[in-house]
Amino acid sequence: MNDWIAIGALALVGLLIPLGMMVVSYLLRPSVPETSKRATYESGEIPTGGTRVRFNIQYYMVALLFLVFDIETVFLFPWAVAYLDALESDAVSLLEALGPMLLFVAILLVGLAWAWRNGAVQWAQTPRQVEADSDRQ
Amino acid sequence: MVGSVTTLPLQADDTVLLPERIGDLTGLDAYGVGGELLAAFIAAFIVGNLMLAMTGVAGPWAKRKITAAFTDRIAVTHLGPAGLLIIVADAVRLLSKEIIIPENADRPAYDLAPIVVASSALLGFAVIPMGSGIHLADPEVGLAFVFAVAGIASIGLVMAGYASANKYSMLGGLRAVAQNVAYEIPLVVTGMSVVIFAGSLQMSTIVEAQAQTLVSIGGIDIPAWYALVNPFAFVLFLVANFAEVGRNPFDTPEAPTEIVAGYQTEYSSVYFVLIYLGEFLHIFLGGALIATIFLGGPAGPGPAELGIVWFLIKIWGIFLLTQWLRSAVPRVRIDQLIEIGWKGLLVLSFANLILTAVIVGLIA
Repeated sequence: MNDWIAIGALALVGLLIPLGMMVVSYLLRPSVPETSKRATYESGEIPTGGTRVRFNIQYYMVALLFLVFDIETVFLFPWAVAYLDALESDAVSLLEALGPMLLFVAILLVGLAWAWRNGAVQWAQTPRQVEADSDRQ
Repeated sequence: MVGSVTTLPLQADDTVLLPERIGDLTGLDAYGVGGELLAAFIAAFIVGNLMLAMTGVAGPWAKRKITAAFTDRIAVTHLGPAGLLIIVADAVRLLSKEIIIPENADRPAYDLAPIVVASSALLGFAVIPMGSGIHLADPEVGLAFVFAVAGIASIGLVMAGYASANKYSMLGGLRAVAQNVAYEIPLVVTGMSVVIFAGSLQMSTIVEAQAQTLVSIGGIDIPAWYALVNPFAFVLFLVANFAEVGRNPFDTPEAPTEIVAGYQTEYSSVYFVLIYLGEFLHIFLGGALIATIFLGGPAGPGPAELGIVWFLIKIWGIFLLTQWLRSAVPRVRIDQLIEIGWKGLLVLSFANLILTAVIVGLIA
């Protein structure tokens, strides 16, 4: 049997279970509308301002960094699968099997070092770091 | 594999997948594609409900009992033996709660988010070999499939955080995605160091590779579980996994003392249940992954039929560990979380991968 049929079947079951629970809940639950019951929760205070707040730019930096490394892992998977077989078949030497991967990872780690140095993965700075930064400029 | 279905033996054989076994036992095989689909659906239903039952035991009962034991209290004693009937009572209670949807909520996304969170976690179990023949599918991309599917949950968390139109939810959703993104790479790269040993992403191959004997001490064969072969990778994976499922000390996205409940602040009634369910399924999926690629999957002493028992013991062991950490360690701040991920675990996981590759290369 095809594996993906079974996986598709579990995807279907995975959808049916939440939907089933939602139906049961719909049949059981009461509805008691009250004034401002549906207001946005802000610890019991009257909500102020919009909720689409500005957020730290660091979230964006980290996401960019992730994209690069995620693609890297995708490229590393085939290498990891083939590595031991390639060595045992004696078709390639250790250097030929390992070298390109090391170079590939090294290039990305240089990128990480650059991002690290520029504070892309640094959420908050201590006063001393702020001082060092202003000295450098 | 197609076409060999009719010749399969009926007895318990770990190489036979659950849909084929069911097709064989019920005679559904004779009905062509329709029978095949139905057998797959029945098998998926069994696996799905097994996981649902485990979550049912873990959420309302085991979690309370364990936390109570760690904090010197007694919990859930009144209903049934050892308070077990609280599971039924809680299911009814939670499902019959009034649902309160914030007036500014972004509707389709707000409703879809809990389903995405719960479904994505459940789908990961499709490729996990649970022993005793409970193994739904065994594609060659097994391990990559689990990582990919588990990653979908991040989208659900962002949807929940953004669509709730609540400042706490927004911050929680952002934190959740930053955290998942930071720890996904160490998790996958550490998992890859196991793939180097096994030479395959297929779950059954990874489990089989761990059945070999590592050393014999006093007549007892110690199996070559990858947790013993490469303990460093095991610890890295364990830590990255706790962050990935958002448990202490990495429960920053929920952080009740800072941002109420993070992305689930505005969720009530069945939606809350679904998000909660998704979180527990993720903990169990993480445990299942650890058991499969580091602890020999369903392997253990005794006959092979006991596989599911050993498998459950292993993933409950990981669950117990998460609850222990919940009671024992403080939470890290968001800036510490990001730094531990990008500066610590990422570098260590690449060091582990390269070291593993070099050592394996020198031995081979």
